[in-house]
Amino acid sequence: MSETLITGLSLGAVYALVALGFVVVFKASEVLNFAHGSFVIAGAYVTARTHELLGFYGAVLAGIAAAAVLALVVERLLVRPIRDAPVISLAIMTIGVEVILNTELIRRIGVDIMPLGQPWGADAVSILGSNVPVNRIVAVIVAVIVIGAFLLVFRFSPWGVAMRAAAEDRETAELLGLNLGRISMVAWLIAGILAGVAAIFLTGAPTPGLAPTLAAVVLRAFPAALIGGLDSVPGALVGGLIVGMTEAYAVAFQSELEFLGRGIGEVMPFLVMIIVLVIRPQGLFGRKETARV
Amino acid sequence: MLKVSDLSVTYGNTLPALRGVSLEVPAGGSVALLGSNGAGKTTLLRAVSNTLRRHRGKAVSGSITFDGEELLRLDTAAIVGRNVVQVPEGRRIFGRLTVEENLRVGGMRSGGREAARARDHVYELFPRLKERRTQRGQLLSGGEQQMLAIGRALMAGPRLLMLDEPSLGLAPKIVSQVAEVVRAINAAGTAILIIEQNANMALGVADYAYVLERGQVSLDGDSARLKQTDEIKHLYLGHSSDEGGAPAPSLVGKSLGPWKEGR
Repeated sequence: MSETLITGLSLGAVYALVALGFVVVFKASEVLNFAHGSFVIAGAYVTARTHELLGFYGAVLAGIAAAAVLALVVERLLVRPIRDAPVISLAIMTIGVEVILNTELIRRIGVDIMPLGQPWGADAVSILGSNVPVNRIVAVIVAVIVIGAFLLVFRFSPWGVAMRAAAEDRETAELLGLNLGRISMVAWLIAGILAGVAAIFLTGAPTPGLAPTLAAVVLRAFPAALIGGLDSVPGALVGGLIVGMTEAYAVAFQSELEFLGRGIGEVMPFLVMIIVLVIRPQGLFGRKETARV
Repeated sequence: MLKVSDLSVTYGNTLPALRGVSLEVPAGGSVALLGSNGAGKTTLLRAVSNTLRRHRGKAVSGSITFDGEELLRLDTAAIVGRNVVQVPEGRRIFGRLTVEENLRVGGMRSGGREAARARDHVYELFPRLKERRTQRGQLLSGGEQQMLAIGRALMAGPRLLMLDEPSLGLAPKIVSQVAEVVRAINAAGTAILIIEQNANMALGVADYAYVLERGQVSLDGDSARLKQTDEIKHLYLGHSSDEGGAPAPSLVGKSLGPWKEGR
């Protein structure tokens, strides 16, 4: 059973990386960025395309850079010029961006499954008597380090403090001389980097490589962000873990859950999201929108 | 230093909030802007800091210059960069940030050493904030929050400090402490523009005052002289200058009747 636990932890940590990017962008720029999933796919695509040329680690850097640059381009060229548009218009625009980017990326991937060239490949190690892919273990370790680094930046760096202030009260932050545009830009950049890191592990073992199905996998990070609360960083981490665990256990107990239909693992995160939102509309850690007194 | 000339502002393209307002804050001076609710006081500060757009407002004519430079063309951050800093109405401290982080946000535009010096100065001015520096802003009392809001603005090294209703919702004792602090800041060389409904407090702090009524300056003069005028006494200081229920002293453009401004 420890295999399911590690699978859940590992998936959860990677979903948390993706959800974190979504939440940070929302906090810093008030944009629900549904194009975030495309950043993951773009990162994976660039890593897969370049790993033979640059070697795996060079390709990882290229993939992360590609995801980060894509995030910056979307922010500067598409979001910034219409930042005064209603929140819902911006959100729907990002859905459009997602559809366009994914269509093109999936066309490029084609019917192939593109390996990313992870040096650990499909190796597995035995832990407490069960076989666990090395990819899962590396994912947990890397995710914990990256999330830890992010939390330090979020808590102590000038950007982190400025970003939390702006998330709380944008007008007052501006009255103190903060540049909201720059805060937003850094947030998108960080979200892109997190997406690029997540891409490496979402395409590794036991998945054979980058395939068009990645789009559906990445989609499960959105319920993670909603479960935790859209404006909460700890929420993104907990939400990611909940989604990862739910998925891992639903797959492990697939045979017992067969009466619910096949593929229950894939819909489970969305079921959990609906249940959480019915009970707590603002998510587990989200703050209820209250009128300023 | 700050010169507002013939400024008119409208909200949503139709609702006039300021009509041809002119006023001046000399270097190192202290000026009060009095007026009742809806007179346009906050609108004037929004215009100076260029945050009107957030409220669907627009300066339709006139100019606001600081040391000769037009502020209407600069964005809010750049105006803070010219050391024109505002303490917004209702304090608006960041409740989820600690006291120290709140101050850090205020000092973010200046360098590390400069910010550290500014912070020491703020802690000297408000020892209470130093005691509570690791606590979240939302745990402070109203008076402490006002101290933090002023301290946070001081972190930006203002040459002109604008305060929007600093006495709002505070106990009388705290109000006089705030007044004292503002006087001290002014004495140290920072020019002050203070907005108040509490005329007593504002006239105690400022050398010169303007009265804003329905978007226009209806009265201005030295604080000491204004305090003696019947209009101020009657309207803002709570003295009753007349006996036997005589009509209120007249004010420019005054009209009593059904509320009809607005849409």
